[in-house]
Amino acid sequence: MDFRKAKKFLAVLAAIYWIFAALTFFAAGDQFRYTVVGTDTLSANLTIGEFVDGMTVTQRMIAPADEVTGLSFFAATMGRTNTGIMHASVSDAAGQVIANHDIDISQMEEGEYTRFLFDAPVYVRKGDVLTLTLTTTGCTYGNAVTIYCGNTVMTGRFDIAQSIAPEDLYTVNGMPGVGKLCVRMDGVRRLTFYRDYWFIMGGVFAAAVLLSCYWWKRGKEGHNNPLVMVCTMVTRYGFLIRQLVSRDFKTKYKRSVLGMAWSFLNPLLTMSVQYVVFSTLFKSDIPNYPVYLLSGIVFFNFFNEAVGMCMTSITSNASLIKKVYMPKYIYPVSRILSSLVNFVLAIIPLFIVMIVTGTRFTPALLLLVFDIMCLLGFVLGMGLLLTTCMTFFQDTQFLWGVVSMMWMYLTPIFYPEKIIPVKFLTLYHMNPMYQYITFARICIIDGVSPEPMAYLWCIISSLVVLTLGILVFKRNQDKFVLYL
Amino acid sequence: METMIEVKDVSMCFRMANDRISSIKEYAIAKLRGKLQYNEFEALKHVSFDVKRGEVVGLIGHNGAGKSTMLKVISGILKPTEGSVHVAGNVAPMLELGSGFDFDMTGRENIFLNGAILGYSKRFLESKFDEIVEFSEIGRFIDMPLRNYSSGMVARLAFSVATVIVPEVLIVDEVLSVGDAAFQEKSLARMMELMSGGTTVLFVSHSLDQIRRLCSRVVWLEHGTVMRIGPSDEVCDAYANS
Repeated sequence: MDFRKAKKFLAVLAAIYWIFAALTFFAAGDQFRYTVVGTDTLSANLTIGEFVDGMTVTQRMIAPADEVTGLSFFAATMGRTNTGIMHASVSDAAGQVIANHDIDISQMEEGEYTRFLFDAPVYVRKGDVLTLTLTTTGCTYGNAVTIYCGNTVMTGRFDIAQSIAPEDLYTVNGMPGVGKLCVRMDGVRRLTFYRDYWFIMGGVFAAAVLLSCYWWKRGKEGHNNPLVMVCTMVTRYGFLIRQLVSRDFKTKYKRSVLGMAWSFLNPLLTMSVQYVVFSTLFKSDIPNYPVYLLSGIVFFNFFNEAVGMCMTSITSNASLIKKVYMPKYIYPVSRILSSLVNFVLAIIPLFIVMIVTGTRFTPALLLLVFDIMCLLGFVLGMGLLLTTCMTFFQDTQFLWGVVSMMWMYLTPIFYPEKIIPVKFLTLYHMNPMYQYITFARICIIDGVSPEPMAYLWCIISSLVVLTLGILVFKRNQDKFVLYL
Repeated sequence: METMIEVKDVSMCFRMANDRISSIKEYAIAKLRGKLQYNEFEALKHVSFDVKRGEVVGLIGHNGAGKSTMLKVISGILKPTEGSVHVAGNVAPMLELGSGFDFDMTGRENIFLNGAILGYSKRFLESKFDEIVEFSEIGRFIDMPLRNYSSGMVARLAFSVATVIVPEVLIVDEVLSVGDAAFQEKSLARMMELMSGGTTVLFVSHSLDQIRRLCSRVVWLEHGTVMRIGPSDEVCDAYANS
């Protein structure tokens, strides 16, 4: 290994780490400080009728967090401008009023949740039973809003009736109603991650430096280890990998008229077809559906293509492997990198669609780099596993065809996540592709950073699969040539 | 003198399943029926020899004697089942010329691709580019896709890329018969030039003439074992009489 070049490479790596840590901190902002939570509500399919003076409406609620910041109402304005004041008061189990807020009724929006923040947050304990009491002043029939209530829950395409405990029904002047009010209690959960962020990043860095120093010393003594491998790959085989990547890329579009343009036309056309199919044939109420769809397609396509290309990397290079010595990992790595180039090109149409649909560009987009790094590790791990299987058993490619299709349906690419029955959700969320795609969508569509837990999941799933892939590949690589 | 190639007690054993099993189903069935037997085939049996710096050593033997396997083990393509191989310095194995050529790419692109596969650096290739093109006699075809080349042109280009470097250890498997008579002469001259330049060479050929002309020592392999090692004339005579 070329130690001078390797030193330079490691220094660059360290610099990138710190730049990225700082950018993440800047881009993530408030999402590392607290998480916004709210109580669950049912589908708004009924109303309580016009809410006029003299009515007292109550609803039992469970505090969603220790810190309650406000209330959101799902109201109907009857298509007119109403005036008046709605008094909201929240009392605890002992009947003590803990929050009071007067709401200007003219600010209520039609048919969607309108959020009203308390003047100051109220501190309770998560899970406390609270009672919301609503009255109005200045509201008469013809000048009043109504609040929605519901007794069903939406599971994708169907509303399913829910049984509601008697104490959870809303009351009007003491008489129980037929459902729960569509009023959400909003709160925030404070996170210590923000405070500890630099300690954690520093700790990870220190650990990496220590490990590198150890490996460096061992490497100088002639031992092989991951550090030596990565440095050799970059310093000695960098040129070869670049050549192989450029070959993949050149030959892919060599004889097509549009050439490279296919890299971004392809996802765009797929999106157009699926957009037409799913937004007209099926009911889809996903906000910003084009971007939702395209981000899913672009990310999943990368996974599918990279793993597929990686899987055949050893078998299709058989003639080379039998004739020339080079480290075996070069083949899968170069294939992954060529898919990455394609992926980066496919992100261009995503940005175009974002501009067309008027999606905001926020600093949170920087966080995509983190997401893509994790995805890259995951894909490489999967590719190494599959190419090992593929070398010994050619059936792997046909099996993978079926598995990848199944995987596509198990990932929310064109459908909303909420059509998944609640009891399967935990299992559903364990799909790493779900993690990566959801992470990307939060950054792109919502323009904010995901919660710290999402970062953790992405890193863990990526590292576990990558380590597994490397181990399996390493154990078997010497046998490959005998099976080709 | 310094030992450049050290082959120590190398055995190479191929396991050939009674039927080439390459699907999970077949594997499972064979395993369940307990019929997963392997025919062991020993291509090399306890081979030992070494090559000193600057020596040109020939490797002879009949078909299936294990010559190519030996070269693959030394180049690092195969890992020996037993024993060890140690090579000092950088190796340029010329087992098959033009491995890694892509016929959809131009000659120019292929020079860089094949050069990278052979382990050359970018700077080296850029500085030697004109030399390669000139030696190969490709001329203005250099920017055409390889699929438009004649097979002779491909072979010439491959030879030119492979021999542009002066490696410390050169491993050659019968590559001298390339192109037309004029180019063969030119390539032989190039090989001679490489070999006389102090490079250590391990050379496989069926042509005893070439062996006698180029090599100082010869290793004679037969059925995976070393029959004889010694000065080239002596071993070649014995081989010719066998």
